[in-house]
Amino acid sequence: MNHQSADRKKQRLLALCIAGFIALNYPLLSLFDQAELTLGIPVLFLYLFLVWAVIISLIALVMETGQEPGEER
Amino acid sequence: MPRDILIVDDAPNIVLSLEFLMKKEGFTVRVAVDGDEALKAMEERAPDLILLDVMMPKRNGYEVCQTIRAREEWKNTRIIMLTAKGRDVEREKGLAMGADDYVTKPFATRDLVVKVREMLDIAES
Amino acid sequence: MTLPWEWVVPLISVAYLGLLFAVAYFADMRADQGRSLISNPYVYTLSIAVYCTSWTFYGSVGRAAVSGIGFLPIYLGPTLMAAIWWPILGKIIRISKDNRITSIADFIASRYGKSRGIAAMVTLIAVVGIMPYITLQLKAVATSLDVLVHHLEYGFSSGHPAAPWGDTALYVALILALFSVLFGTRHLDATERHEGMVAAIAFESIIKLLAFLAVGLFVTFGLFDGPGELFQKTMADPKLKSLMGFGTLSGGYSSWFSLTFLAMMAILFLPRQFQVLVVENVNENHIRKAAWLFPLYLLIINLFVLPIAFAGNLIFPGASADPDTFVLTLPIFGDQQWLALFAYLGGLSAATSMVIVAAIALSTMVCNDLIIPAFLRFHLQVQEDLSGIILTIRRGVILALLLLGYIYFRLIGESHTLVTIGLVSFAAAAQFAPPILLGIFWKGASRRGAIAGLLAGFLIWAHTLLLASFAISGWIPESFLTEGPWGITWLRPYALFGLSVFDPITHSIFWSMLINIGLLITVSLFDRQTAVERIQALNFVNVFEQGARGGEAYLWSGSVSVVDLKRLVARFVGPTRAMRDFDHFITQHRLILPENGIAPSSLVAFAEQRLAGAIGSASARIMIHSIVKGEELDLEGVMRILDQTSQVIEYSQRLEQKSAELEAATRQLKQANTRLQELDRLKDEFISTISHELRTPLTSIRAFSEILRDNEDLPTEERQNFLGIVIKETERLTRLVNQVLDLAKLESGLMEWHPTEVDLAEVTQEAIDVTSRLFENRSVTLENFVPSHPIILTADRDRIQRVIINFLSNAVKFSPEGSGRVEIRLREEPAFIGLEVKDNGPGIQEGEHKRIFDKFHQVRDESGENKPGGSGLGLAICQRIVDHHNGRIWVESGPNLGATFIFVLPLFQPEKKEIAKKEASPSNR
Repeated sequence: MNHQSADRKKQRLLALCIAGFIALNYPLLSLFDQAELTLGIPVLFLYLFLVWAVIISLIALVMETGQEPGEER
Repeated sequence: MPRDILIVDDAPNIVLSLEFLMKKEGFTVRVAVDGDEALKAMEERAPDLILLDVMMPKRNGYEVCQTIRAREEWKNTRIIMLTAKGRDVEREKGLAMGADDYVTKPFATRDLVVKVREMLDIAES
Repeated sequence: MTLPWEWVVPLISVAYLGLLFAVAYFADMRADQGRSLISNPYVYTLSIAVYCTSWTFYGSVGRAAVSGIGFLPIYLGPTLMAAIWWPILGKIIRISKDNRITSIADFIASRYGKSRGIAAMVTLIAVVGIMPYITLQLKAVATSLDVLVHHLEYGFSSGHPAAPWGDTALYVALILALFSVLFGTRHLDATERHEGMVAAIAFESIIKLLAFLAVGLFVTFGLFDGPGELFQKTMADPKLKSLMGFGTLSGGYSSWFSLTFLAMMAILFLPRQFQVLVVENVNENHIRKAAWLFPLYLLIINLFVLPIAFAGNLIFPGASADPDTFVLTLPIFGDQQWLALFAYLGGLSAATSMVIVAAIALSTMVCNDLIIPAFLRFHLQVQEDLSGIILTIRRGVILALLLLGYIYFRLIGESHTLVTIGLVSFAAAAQFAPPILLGIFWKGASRRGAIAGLLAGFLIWAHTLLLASFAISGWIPESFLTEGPWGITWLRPYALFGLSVFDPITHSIFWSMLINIGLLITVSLFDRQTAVERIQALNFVNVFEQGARGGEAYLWSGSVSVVDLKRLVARFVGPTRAMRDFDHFITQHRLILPENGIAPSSLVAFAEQRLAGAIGSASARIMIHSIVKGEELDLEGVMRILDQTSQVIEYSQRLEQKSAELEAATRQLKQANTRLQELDRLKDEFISTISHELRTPLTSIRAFSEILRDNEDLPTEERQNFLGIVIKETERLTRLVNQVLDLAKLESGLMEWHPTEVDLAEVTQEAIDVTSRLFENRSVTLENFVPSHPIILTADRDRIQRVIINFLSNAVKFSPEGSGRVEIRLREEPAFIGLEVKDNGPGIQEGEHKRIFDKFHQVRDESGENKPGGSGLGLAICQRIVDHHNGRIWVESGPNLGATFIFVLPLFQPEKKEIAKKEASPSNR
């Protein structure tokens, strides 16, 4: 596995981290600051847990695809 | 009954000298100038002894020697190899192919005659 | 229920700890057998979940009950950080393995020039900063124990529990200290990873997750009719409805932001997280799975926080029960004593795992970076085995830490919630982030910069959070908070320099990070690094680059004997272990070392690393320094070595570039070698052939001479005949010898040449005359097309004539006797002269065209009967003569088409080479 794709992986993870930070902070968060229920669940909680789950899935996707163990970083 | 000698060599002058020497000893002499001729002469009648040159056109001396040794009915024919290549390897090779003795050119005529007589088991007169 | 709960609960607690110890013991046993239980990403993930302490277990619910979603950033932050574990944590782990780093203090100290001062400082910050966190666990365990026993005994009749607080906490502290000692320092070897401990905390992570889920499921589906009903009822309560949004979150979005950031740092840089993530890591590739499994664990354990919090608020309105204990009180309320007990065990798991790991991590730091350096200062030359002493020190430190935690608890315990105490520790750990993160990516970060940043950050933290919490507990006057120390208002802890827009945590984080990072960068930019700093900076930043590891070996240029080195290491790790390690290293590197010989620098570096594993890098460096005679390299020396290294790298790159050319050259060499072998074979053949060719006439001569000698009575005629043969063979021999000599001269370049103006027409005519008798003898016709006018060129007359004679005599020899027909002609061209001799003989086969010019190569006719009486050297000599005149010689023929031998000579010799190559091109002269 070459340097380039190892670098690419790092860049994807960094982008994911930044995107997650933005999605989980002000001002995006203020859009869901409502005391309402969606599907029986408070909309703020629903949003946060969904974003959270999506981030975890994406980490899994990036980490578990492509490179073999023992690769360089 | 005179002994039968076959001389095989492609150098005419050498053949001439050998022919003289052998006839003088009272042997019957036949001549071949290459390997094929030599085998033809063998088929005709197996001689008691062959003086066989190594470097000849059409089947060299080793091949002829090997062919003769492969035939049961020719096992009594003595073979003396003559070679101008004086290296040990050649000697070894000749003996390995089934030659009985080996003479390096140029040879001393007296020695050659003695060797032939010994080979034919004729006591020195 | 009539069980004596005040006895049952403590007994079960101790039994549970016993079970943990069994797990650890089993894991250690397996590790000794080489069948590690923990060497997989799942156990690694579970061990990282030591992050979830009793703060998570009890405190999250408590916080959610008061401020809704506000507990969540503490778990979102680690998720975001886990996304970039692969590049960051991976690098930290690799560095730590390369340098045998055993703690976060060791890591920072090692990065900044193996400085003892910085190691001690980090240790102090860690101890002071983490103390509240340990206190938090003591408080949680003590409270949960008391609450559980109280409510199990008395139900909810008598309101708040009134248990003997202090005693419980003290016992808890002592028992946890005992277990930490058992887990962390069971081995005599002080340097190994703690497999048993990791297995135990992974086990605890499962227990606490299951316990929390069990309570959550019971509360949501047992006490209520699913989350739908629970949330509906909460919405219906106007007081609780506000918990659904951000309204109740103190500090609002800025607090949310800073907590996320804080948690991101804490997951990496809390000493216990560093311990499990880095020090206890078995395989870097475990990060791959842990990076998403660990966030998943966090998500799952947080699913029921809000339902439990809301349920607690609905069931115990008006704070009739401490929200921090909802996890226990709700099952008891639902009459599920055993579930409550299980929940309690989950909380105990969360607390004990944190305490055990933190205690071990901190004790390693305190021992290696504070006590041993001080100890060595006074006992530098002590020769006895210190490994036992080191372990004793560590045990003492663990006990002391937990007792300190207890004292802290006595001081401030009751006035704070679990979460607030925890966040204070988080803020302290965050101070380590700048020197580490900048340190592994920026070579320029210097020791003085790191010290300045850490010190300032720590002081701000202490002022704005620690001292402030003392003030809140009433341990120091409250005016400290409201008016500032000594009445200096701009030093008020919650409004430093008058900044009062943030909540206390955000406020502290803002200032401490700003100053910490600012000083680290600024001081570094104006600093000059020492040699050791520079090398360590390079080692850390370039850890993934090949060759980076070699740097360590350059550090020591002095001399020390192998036996001294071994003795030193043995003092700290024990003699058996030291012997084993040295033997291993020596075998691995194929070193041959006499005991009293000088240790090579690689061995010194190895010993230093080995020591670093036991007592920390800073102390290790001092110890090595104490026995190595001679100086460390100065900066110039180091730079020189680095320069050489880079030169070597550059050189090897150039070599790589050349490798293609080298391969080509190798191919050429192989070809040349094949040709040489062929030539060698030809030489042997040549000697063999020449021997044969010379011996054949010699044989005739000798034979006939002897015949003439031995037969005096030969007839005269025969005698004449034999003598004639002798003479003829002698002539042949002479000719042969001459030819061989000629050829030898030609080949060796010793031949003397006599180039003159030559009339080629005349030379050719003369050659025809010389060979006319041969033609007559064989009745071969010669057709002469040689022009009568002179054709002048520069050449060696005799040699050229020899070539022509050779052509003619060959033609005669191979032409049929009687019907033979040979043609000879000269061709005049502007730049060259050609000569052709054509016969009507059998011709020469295509494959022979080149070979007939080889030495001793004799052409025989088809029947082979007529051996032409040549030596086989004639044409070879011709070719060399023509070559010398820069001409060309060849034959054109086919079977039964006769053969035409041709040579061409250039007319003008000076530009001979050009002309010879391009026969048809006109002369420019």
